[in-house]
Amino acid sequence: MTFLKLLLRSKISAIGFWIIVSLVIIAVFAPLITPYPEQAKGAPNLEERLLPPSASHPFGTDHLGRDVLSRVIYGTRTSMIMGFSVVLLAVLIGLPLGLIAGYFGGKVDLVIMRITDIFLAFPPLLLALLIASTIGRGMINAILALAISWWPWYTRLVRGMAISVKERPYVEAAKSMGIGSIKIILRHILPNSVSPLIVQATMDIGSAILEAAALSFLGLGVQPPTPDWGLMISEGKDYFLNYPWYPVFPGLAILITVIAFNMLGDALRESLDPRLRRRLL
Amino acid sequence: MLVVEGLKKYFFIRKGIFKKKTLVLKAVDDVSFRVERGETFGLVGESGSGKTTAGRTILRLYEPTAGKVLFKGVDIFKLSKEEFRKIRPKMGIIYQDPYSSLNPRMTVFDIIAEPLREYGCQKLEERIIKLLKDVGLGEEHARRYPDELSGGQCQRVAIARALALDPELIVLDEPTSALDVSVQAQVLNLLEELQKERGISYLFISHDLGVIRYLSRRVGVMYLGKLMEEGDVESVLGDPLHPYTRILIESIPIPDPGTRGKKGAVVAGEIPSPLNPPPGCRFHPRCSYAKEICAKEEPPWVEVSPGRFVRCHLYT
Amino acid sequence: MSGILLSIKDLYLNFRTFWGVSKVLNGVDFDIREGEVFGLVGETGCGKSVTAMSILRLLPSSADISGEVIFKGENLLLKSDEEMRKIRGKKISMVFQDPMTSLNPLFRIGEQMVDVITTHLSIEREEALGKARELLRSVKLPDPDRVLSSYPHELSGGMRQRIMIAMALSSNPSLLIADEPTTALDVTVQKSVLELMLELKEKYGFSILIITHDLGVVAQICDRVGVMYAGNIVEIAPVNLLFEKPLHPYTKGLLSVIPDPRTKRRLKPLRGSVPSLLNPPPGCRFHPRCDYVKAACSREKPSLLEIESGHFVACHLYGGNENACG
Repeated sequence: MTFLKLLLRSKISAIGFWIIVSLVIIAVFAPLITPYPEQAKGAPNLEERLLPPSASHPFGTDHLGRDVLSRVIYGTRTSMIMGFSVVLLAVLIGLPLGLIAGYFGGKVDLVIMRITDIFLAFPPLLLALLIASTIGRGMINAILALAISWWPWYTRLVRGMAISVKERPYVEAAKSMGIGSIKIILRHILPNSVSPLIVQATMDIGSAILEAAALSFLGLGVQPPTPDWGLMISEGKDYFLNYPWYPVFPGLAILITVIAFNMLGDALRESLDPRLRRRLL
Repeated sequence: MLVVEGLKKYFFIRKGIFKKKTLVLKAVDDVSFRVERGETFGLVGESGSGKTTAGRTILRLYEPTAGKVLFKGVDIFKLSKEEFRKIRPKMGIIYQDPYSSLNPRMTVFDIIAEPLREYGCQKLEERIIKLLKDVGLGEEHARRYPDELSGGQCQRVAIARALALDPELIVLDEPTSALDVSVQAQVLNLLEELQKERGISYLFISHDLGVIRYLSRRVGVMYLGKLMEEGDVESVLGDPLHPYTRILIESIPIPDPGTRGKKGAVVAGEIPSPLNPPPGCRFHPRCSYAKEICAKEEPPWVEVSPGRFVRCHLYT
Repeated sequence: MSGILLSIKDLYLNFRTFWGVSKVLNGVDFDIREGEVFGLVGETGCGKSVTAMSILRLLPSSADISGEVIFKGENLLLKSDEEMRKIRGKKISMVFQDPMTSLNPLFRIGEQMVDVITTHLSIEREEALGKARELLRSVKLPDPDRVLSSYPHELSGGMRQRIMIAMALSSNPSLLIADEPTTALDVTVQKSVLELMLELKEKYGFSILIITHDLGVVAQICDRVGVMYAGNIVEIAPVNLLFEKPLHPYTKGLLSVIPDPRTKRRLKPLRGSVPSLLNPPPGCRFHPRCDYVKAACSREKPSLLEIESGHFVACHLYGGNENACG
């Protein structure tokens, strides 16, 4: 509870927090709150093409007559899934590598860091293109592409923390008790290295959503008719001049989401501040 | 209990752009002493003396460059990892900073349980509660985290952890330096009690002569990696032989204004870097009794009277 | 008797923290006379460092302060930032515990000293360098030119602390505040730095407020001592009196727990521990730990009374209201 209290201490973090909570709720309950579920999933409604926002279509309709609001709501699902998956996968790869490199040092560190450097050099777009051309397009492949280009950052982050944590007396105390390396890493190094990672990962969910949207925009990620914000912007860009609501609303959705995650990340950083000397997470 | 013979620990530091130059840091350079069963041996020194490194090396936290450490007659450096593991529980360590010696993410219970679990002990809860009581804490402390405790309480937890496996030797590295004076007294009394009850030997490392006096029976004075003097604590502190020991004692501000104005010797200069110790006797540049020979030859370790050793040309 | 240089009256200080209001100073009163060494002694959290920071108004914005800090007839708490800047480093200087963090590792000593000197005295750089050299000599640093061209990390702790003292004295302050100046130094170096401070005081005539937890240091260089506990001054006395006839139970307790290297005597620690300042005990803040506690102690905060010449205590055992037990 102290954690939440700290988190909500500033208005900014509170706003970010609640926006994300809302987004998650929207994503989870999408089928229930969407006014036009079928259109959301892709069913065209050619009589009502490109209608401006109205009572029955608060965000207007797209070039296939589908309700934009519904598609944006369903798009929340796609975005959330992609954002979380990318970060989760990147953490699953990057965290252990960082811990091992940081704790063992020496040759192990050298090898892992060189591999990390190699992957760092890959721009995500290129990687996505590569993967798209070899194993095809789609959401999962986009997630893979992004995760592969993302994990090196986490390895670096965790490695830095691990290096400083391993010097601390309580780690030496554990060694003096004869405790093995794996247990030391899991029990002592990991819990004390993980705070900056949590902050970074949270903010990255927003960035991941952005990059996923970029990939869909370029046609390398989610494919039509799946509702996705990036895809909607891509489809809508040709209609921007005369029918601006079409690409603008999904764009706004991305904007709000990314800002919210950044706010949450900032708030997390403050509440995890070790100077507060309180165990918060 | 513990016999240290000719212990050396050198650190090799590579410097220079292409890492060609190798500097040798002779942190511990030929140190020998004994710690008897149930007794406290004080290791005194200032910064750069090597006392902390010596303590760590004795516990095999560092691999020595040379020398032997016999624990109950067995050279621990010759043991394999598995064999040493059997001996490990008999040796404990307590650090200077109570907060950083405890994992901030673990509860007191888990911290003390760690060594117990590692060596497959049963009835954890019982044992931990008893340990907490032994160090003057209560059951309610078990569920707390280190940052919820005071410095003195944290140090007690560290002591409880060190006691968990019934050690026969504990190395204490400045255990009270980070504590307030009144808390220090509490912890020192606790340590004394525990030693009386359990017959544990202590290797007490400190720069504070008052604290050393309180617990130690024998004391060794280190300077730049070498032992300069050794003997029972009353003699060494009451009637120091080595000039460095004399300076050390005279430099301590005595809490008695009546002793003011007695200038005593003020030692010149500062402690040189251990990377570049002076030749011959390491203390000679600052010694008011320095003779010609002191700059050339290192004095040998001489037993001036039974149990009383000095390394100084004044006594050779 | 020499004049009073600094007079602190009724100093109350609260910090607004996340967990509530921390009542750090609870009515601090003491004076520092011209040319004397006054020691402020106490354990962690007693408020001694904070008191020093209050004199120089170096407090964070979460601090609420009230009372008077009268320096040369003027209340420093009423001064503006601009006015305080003219006083800090010039009329009142401070030396801190860790010389490594007080000196900027990226600049040579010469640069840093010239910086400080030219801030307070409007002289040319060349002249400032000359003054810096002179100052280094006065703090007994051999080879001042080499020191001036060195970086902090190339010098030892003792040397750095001497440089800090030199910088603090560069503008001839009337008061030098030293916050645990030798705690981070080796014992052998400590003695020479303390002696240096005394010598300079004799030569230039400034007063020293030394803050420390080490009663040994106090005994060796202070003229008068103030003992602090949990935000209060509990006893003030000339140094001899304090050690021979400590009046306050806390002072007695402190003196009985210092391990003396000359003898081994039984240490009798005080029971309990330092209270939280978020929720300090009512009345006398020491009463929960006091062996002589009476009913009045938990109700009324004792005021600092002069029991004998120059010897003040804040304790209900003395002062005539209650039965004195001495």
